[in-house]
Order: sequence, then C-alpha cells, then structure tokens
Amino acid sequence: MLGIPWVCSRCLWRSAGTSFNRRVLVHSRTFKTGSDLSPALLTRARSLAVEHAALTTQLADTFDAKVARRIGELAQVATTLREWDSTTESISELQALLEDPTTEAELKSLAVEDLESSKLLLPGIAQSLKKALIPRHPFAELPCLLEIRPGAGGDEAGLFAFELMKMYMAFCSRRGFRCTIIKKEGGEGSAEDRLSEAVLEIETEGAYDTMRTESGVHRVQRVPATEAKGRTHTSAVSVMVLPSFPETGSDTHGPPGFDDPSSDYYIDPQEVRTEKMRASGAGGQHVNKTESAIRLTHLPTGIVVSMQDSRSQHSNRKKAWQVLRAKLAEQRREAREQELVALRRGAMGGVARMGRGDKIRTYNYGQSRCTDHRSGFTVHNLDDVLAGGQGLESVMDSVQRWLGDSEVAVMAAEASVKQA
Amino acid sequence: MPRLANSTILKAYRQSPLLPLLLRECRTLDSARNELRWLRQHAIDIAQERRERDYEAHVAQHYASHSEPRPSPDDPAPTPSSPHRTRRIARARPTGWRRTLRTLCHARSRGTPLQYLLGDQPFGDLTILCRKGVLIPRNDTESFTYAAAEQILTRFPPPSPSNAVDKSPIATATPTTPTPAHPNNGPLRILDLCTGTGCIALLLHDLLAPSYPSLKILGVDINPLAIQLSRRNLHHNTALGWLSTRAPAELEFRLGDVLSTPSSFSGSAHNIAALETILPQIPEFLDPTPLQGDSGVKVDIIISNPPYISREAFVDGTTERSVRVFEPVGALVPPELADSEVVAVGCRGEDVFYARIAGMAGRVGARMVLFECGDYGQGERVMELFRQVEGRWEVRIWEDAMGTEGGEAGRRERACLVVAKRAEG
Repeated sequence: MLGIPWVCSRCLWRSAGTSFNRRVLVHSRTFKTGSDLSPALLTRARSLAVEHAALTTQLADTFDAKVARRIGELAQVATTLREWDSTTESISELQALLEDPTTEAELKSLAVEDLESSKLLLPGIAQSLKKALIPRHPFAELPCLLEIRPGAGGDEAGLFAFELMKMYMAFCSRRGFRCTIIKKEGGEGSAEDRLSEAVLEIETEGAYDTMRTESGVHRVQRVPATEAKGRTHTSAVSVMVLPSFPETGSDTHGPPGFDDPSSDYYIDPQEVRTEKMRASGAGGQHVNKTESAIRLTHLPTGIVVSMQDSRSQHSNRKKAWQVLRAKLAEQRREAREQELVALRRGAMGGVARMGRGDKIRTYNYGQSRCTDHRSGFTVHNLDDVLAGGQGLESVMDSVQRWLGDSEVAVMAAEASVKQA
Repeated sequence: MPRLANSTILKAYRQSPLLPLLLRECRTLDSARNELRWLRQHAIDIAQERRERDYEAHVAQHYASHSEPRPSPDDPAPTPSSPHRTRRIARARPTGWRRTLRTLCHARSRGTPLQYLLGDQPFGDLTILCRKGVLIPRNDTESFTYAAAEQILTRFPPPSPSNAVDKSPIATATPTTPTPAHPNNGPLRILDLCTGTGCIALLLHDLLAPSYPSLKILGVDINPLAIQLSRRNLHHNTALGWLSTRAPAELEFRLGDVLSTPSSFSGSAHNIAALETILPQIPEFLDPTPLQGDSGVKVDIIISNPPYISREAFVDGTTERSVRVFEPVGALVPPELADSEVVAVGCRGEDVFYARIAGMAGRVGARMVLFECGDYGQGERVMELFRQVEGRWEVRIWEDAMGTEGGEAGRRERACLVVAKRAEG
C-alpha cells in the first residue's frame, strides 16, 4: 500500500497528532490586529482624552507632580486620537465630495487619490492608538531584581541556572545596564559553576520593563555534563523579575514608597521578624563571630528572605529588605491583577497568563534552538542567545510585541464587557 | 565548646579540603563556607596584586638593562612584549593564590581573627581597617551605633531651616527637647572614648552628617597604635568617598588616658596626657560661657565602648579563645586602679571606665551618655552608677526591636546599650 510492509499505527497516530497540535498552536497565537478600532476602545480613548484636557487646564493653575505625570501618560492617547479624528474627518469630507454631483471631474480624481492615501494611513494610526491605550505597567520605570533558582532536574538545573545568570549578565553589559550580584549561593559542594540561588540587581531605570518578559520557567533540553550514558535530560530553572524600589522617600516619581502607610506597597516593620544568626552565649567584646547572616520573615505571607553574602550584618539586612520589598510588591500586584486573569483567559486561551509557574521558553542544545512559548518565536542560534547577544534580544522583543498585542486584546474584551 | 561531629567534618572535607580547617574556628558549616569564600577572594586579590607588582618590576628592569627611554604611561605605543602580557595579567586568574589561601586557612584554624587576615571589617557603609594590636569592631557595636545615631537625632533635633524638607518628620514627631539643640549654633560636640579603630566615631559622622550642618567628634584612646589606625581609617574612608568631605575637618583622634586625671598624672607610669588636659585643646569644646567651678569645656554627647570584661570572665571561658589570644588585652579588660580618686570605692573592676565617665559627664555638661555594656547585669550596674552622680539622669537599656530569640535568659548574657539622658532643668 505504501511500499512499506507495515507501519506501526501508534507512530502514525503520533505524527498526525503533532502536526495537528502545531497547527492549532500557531492559530491560537496570532491575534487579529486589524485596522478597525472597536467602538469600545474608541470610547475609552475619548474619555481619556477628555481627562487629559481637564488635567491640562488644571495644571495651568497649580503645578502638581502627580497631575503632571498623569498628563504625560495620557498625552500619547490624546495626540493619537486627534490624529485619528482628523483623518476620519477628512475621509468623510472626501466621501461627501465624491458623492456630491456638483463636484468637478478634476477635483473628483484628486479626491479619490486623497481618499486612498488617507485610508492607508488609518490602520497605522489605529495601531498606535491601541499601543497608547495600554496602561503603563506600574513598575515599568523601575530598576529590577532578577532571581534565578534551579527547579526540577537536580545538579543539571543548578548548572543551567549558572549559565542563565551568565547570559543575563552578558545581556546587561551589552545593553549597558549596570548589573551586580547581590546574592549567589552555589548549593552543596564547592563547585563554582552551579547555583542554588542567585539574585542580580539591575540598577538601570526601566530595566523592569525590559526584563519582565523573562519571568517564568525556562526549560533546558540537553545532554548534561553529569550524564554518563548520553541521554538527553529536561530540567527547569525558574526566573523571577521583581521591581527594585529606591531606598527611601523622595517618591516624586515611581510608585509611592514603603514608608507611607497609605501606600499599597507599605510593609509594616512590626510584621517582619528579623533573625540574626548568632550563637547563644556572651556577645560584644567576648566573642568575634564572623557570622553575618540575616533572615527576614514576613509574618502575614510567610515569605522568607535570607542573606549572608556580605561580611557586614548591616548590608545583609539592607539587601534582604530590598529583596523582601520587591517580592511583596510583585505579589501584591499579582493579587490585584487576579481578577483580570479570568478575563484574560477567556480572551486568549491558556497561554495568556504569564506567571512564575508557567513554562515560557525552551533552550534545546541538540537542535541549537531557543523557542519562546508565548510568542512562538524560535531562534536557531543558541550560542548567541546564551551569550546574551542579538538572538536573546530578538526573542525578548518578540515577547514584548506579544505582550502588547495581548494587552490590547484584553483591553478590547474588558471594554466590551463594560459596555454590555 | 561542643565537639564537632565527625559527620560534619567529613561533609566539609568532601566539599573542600580546606573547610575542616575553618570549621575549627567557625563551628558551623555555613559560616565556614562563607569564610572560605571571603578568604579565597582575598587570596586571589593578593596574588593579583603581587603579579602586577612583579610585572612592574620586570618592566622597570627591562628598561634599566636596555637603556631605552621608557615610554610615558599615556604613550599609546606598545612596549616590547607587553601587549599580550598586560592582557594576560588583566584576565587570567593569577597563579599562586591557592598557596596563599592555604596559608590563610591554616592561620585561621589556629584562631587568628578573620579580620586580621583580611585586613578590614565592614562597619555600616564604611570599611574599617584592622590590624593586630587594636580591637576589631563587633557586629553588636555596629547595631548599637545605629541605635545611638537614632537616639541622638531624637534628643538633639537637627536645625530645621537648612533642611526642613527631608528631616521635618523626625523633628516634629519627637517633641522631647523643649530647649533648642544648639545654643550659639555651634557644632554638635561628640566625645568617643576608647575609640580603638575609630569605628564608632566614623560611623556616627557618616550617619549624622546629612542632618547636622556642623559636627565635632573627638576620639580618644590610650593606645598609640589605635590612634594611628583610626586616623588611617578616617583618610581611607574619606578617600573612597564613603565619608563626606567634611569628615577630615570634623573628626579628630587624640592619644589620651581616660582613667587618669591631671592631678594623678604625675603618678602614672606612662606619659600619656589625661582626658581633662586634652579637651581644652580642642577649640570647639571650649565653653563660651563658663560658670565658676565648671571645667571650662562643653561636650554634648559622650559615647563609649570601653574595655568591660572582668578578670574572671576573661579566663573562665566566657571570652573566646581567639579573642583572648589574638586581640589586645588592654582593649578588653580594664586596668587595675591603685588610687581611688577617679572611681568610687566599691566599684567592680570591670566597671571602672563607666564610673569614671559617668562621674565626668556632668562636669563637661554632657546631656547624653551612651555606653556599650558586656551584659544586662553590667548594664543595670551602670544604671545604678548614674543614680549616684550629680544631676538627674534618665537611664535605660536600649531595646533592640528585633532578635528576642533565645529567651529572656539568653538575652541577658548579651551585650547591651545603655542610654542616659540628663533631665532638663
């Protein structure tokens, strides 16, 4: 029948299955980004533009940093909407001109040309209006902390976690971000090339926005150095991107600080238990202990941060607080967005949520490829990706685009739900 | 000291053959691992330095023997055989660091304090250089200094007009002092007695300088090595930019004997000036409006971490072996006093510094005295001392907001900070 004596039915079924799956996946990942703006989005844009106008008049009387910041956020929407309005207006004018029987033939041909060029402009404007409507991420302007922890996969996961850390450090130095290791623990054993936990601080402002695509589980498929029989292993490393807050006060920009009890991100010092790791017995001049470890426990949530990298207890405590604050802020933001998640699921299917528990990317050494599961983007130069080069950047860009698209989809869904 | 479990030693050995050495002093695997990391980094740094020095010498020798003109440092022309050499020096991990590390670990296993091996100890945001013969700054002292700075800020509200924006919450939240903090708008005068490495004085300046427009901090120690080191620390931290540029003008370290008075001076064996003779030499400490019977000097705050270990506690195992053997006894145990002029009769041997300073505090017009004490028992004896001296003092033991683990009994063994405030009026 096929020229082959027989074919295992299971193999046939499997190959059919994969091709079927693939097609489905590709479908689910492409969003419609057509030129038509849904009326819901348009009304939203209009209300924002009205707010912008009101705030601008308010600012003319009294200066307020918060108002000014809000205006800056809205300016893009207002200008783009104006552009959209003028273009649609001119289109309707031209249309009227064409339909008017008294118009001269010469003028009519000009109008047709104009109409066509205006219509070509429209999709671009709609696109940028959608982009402008996406609310700024609350932490977008902040520097960030990047936490890397090996997941399933034992030693191999630790090894790959170390490689990921190197990758991000190389990426930062290529992009000119200032990056320091604030915590690095290599598990049991003195081997320096495996991690049990690492925290990088990327001090450049806006780093959170660039790096937030990296939160999630990174999967590696390769033959590990520790494998004797040449089998391919799959292990996972989880990466978490946390906002890093400026040390104190001076919150004229960015989200409100932690010292302000009314802030969403306020941490009551009473709720944090600090433990110094110190032996019992006499202290002070009697002993000279070099133990400087600090452990912070946030009692309501049970989040524990311990830090022992520095020889100074004081700087360990400072860093531990920084990490604790970042973790809590991220958690609270997630909790606040929880209600949106259901909506998002409805709008985009399962892949929409990008949490820390979800597999986001696969690094396959055998095929020398790196695939992002959210954008469906694949790069076939793994070495370049792992060196933090152009490859990694293009993957991250694809995710940024995907994020933007999905935000727009969510927003449209949200707006139509509100209208209904 | 409980014996280390064999399994722990074996586990340590499997991780690194050097770890069991460090375990002898550290006692826990975690802390030994940390120390190994710090020592390794230090060994690599030393080797790197040595390599660069050798290379410099080699280049110098090369030019000396070939009588070529040596290119100036900013000359872009490559020196013979240097381009790849410099690159190698910059990149490769220098050889010989393993041997250095082994030496360091062996020294550590014999009890040499880590800070003497590494040469410094972080203290707050500062780096305090350490050397044999001067007491190493402790973690406890670090947290007490932070507490002290906080106490000073509430007791002496910084003048608001100059920096009303950032400090006003503190000033308004603490209406404790009815009188203005600085009569005559002079600097805030702080005396740090038995300063050692100068760590308290330096960190206080770092913490207070942003709030007060003008400070004067004097550190006094009887040990010439300590005074030398504290001056070096001042310059070291200023050069690195961790202390403000005001620091060299506002900080001073003087050799002086806290326990002797000018009258007992002639009888003392050494040739070190008494505290009372030093104070008038600092223009900022002179009282602009001296009252009769007064000492003629004026100090706002006295802070001290004096030797406070008793003779018994020094030998009975309370004091760690490494401290006993490697750190200066003079910085740990107060000297035996022959004359009772300085200190009241019946004062315990380990409390003489407290008695002496508390007795002096009123005479120099101090409004706040801060002491580090060895344990809560000593802290309570110091509180009692303040009841006997002139002036009304509000004395309490500062409570750490955290770290109450180990129960009440465990806590009483720990060092504590005694804060004494003179009642106004």
